[in-house]
Amino acid sequence: MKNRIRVERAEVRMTQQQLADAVGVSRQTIHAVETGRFVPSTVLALKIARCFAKSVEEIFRLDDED
Amino acid sequence: MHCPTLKFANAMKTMLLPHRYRAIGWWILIPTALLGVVLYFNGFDGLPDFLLPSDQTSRWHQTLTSETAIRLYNNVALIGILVGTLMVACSRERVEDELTTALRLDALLLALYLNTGLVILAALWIYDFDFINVMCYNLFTLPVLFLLLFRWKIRRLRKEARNEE
Repeated sequence: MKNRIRVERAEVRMTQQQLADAVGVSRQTIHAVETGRFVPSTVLALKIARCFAKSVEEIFRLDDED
Repeated sequence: MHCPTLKFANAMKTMLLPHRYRAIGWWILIPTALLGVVLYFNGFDGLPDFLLPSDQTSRWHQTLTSETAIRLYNNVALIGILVGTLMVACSRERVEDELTTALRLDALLLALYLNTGLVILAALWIYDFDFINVMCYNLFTLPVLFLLLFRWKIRRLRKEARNEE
């Protein structure tokens, strides 16, 4: 699964720590989600999308492998 | 919202000890592990002579070398290692989230596989009383493996994320 979290963060000038605090996880978790090492739960994905005022599909999308 | 993953993660969180138990766990684990090493090198036959009073006729010496005392040392070492290890491994991280829960589960599963593999290898290569010794050590290899693997996974995660902002 791919995501645009890094791009969205850059657009609103948000750090990983700020995003982590906003959704209630650790900075390492945000980093792991951004780099594709960890697939977030539905709730976490929704929280992240809500942070950027966008839908989940705008932030996350499936790979061909998924 | 009904989310099986989140329900599982929350259930796992409630089964974890508060973060402060990690320090308590280390305070229990390190001395009891050292005691275990000392007892091991003395054949689990009580404390070595250099730790006992020099006067072998004294009541204190006889108390420390009694059968009950020897059993007590072994139990303190074993139970201390088990309790300390579990406290360290099963206490919450400062920020406990779904990733740490997933890592904890991975570490537990991997520890189970490794421990089972070690027992199978021991069953194939070691026999008689030596095998009984291995089974005795096997009492705490699963929790110790779990602790080591979980801390390794957390350390690797932090290292990978270190250079990011």
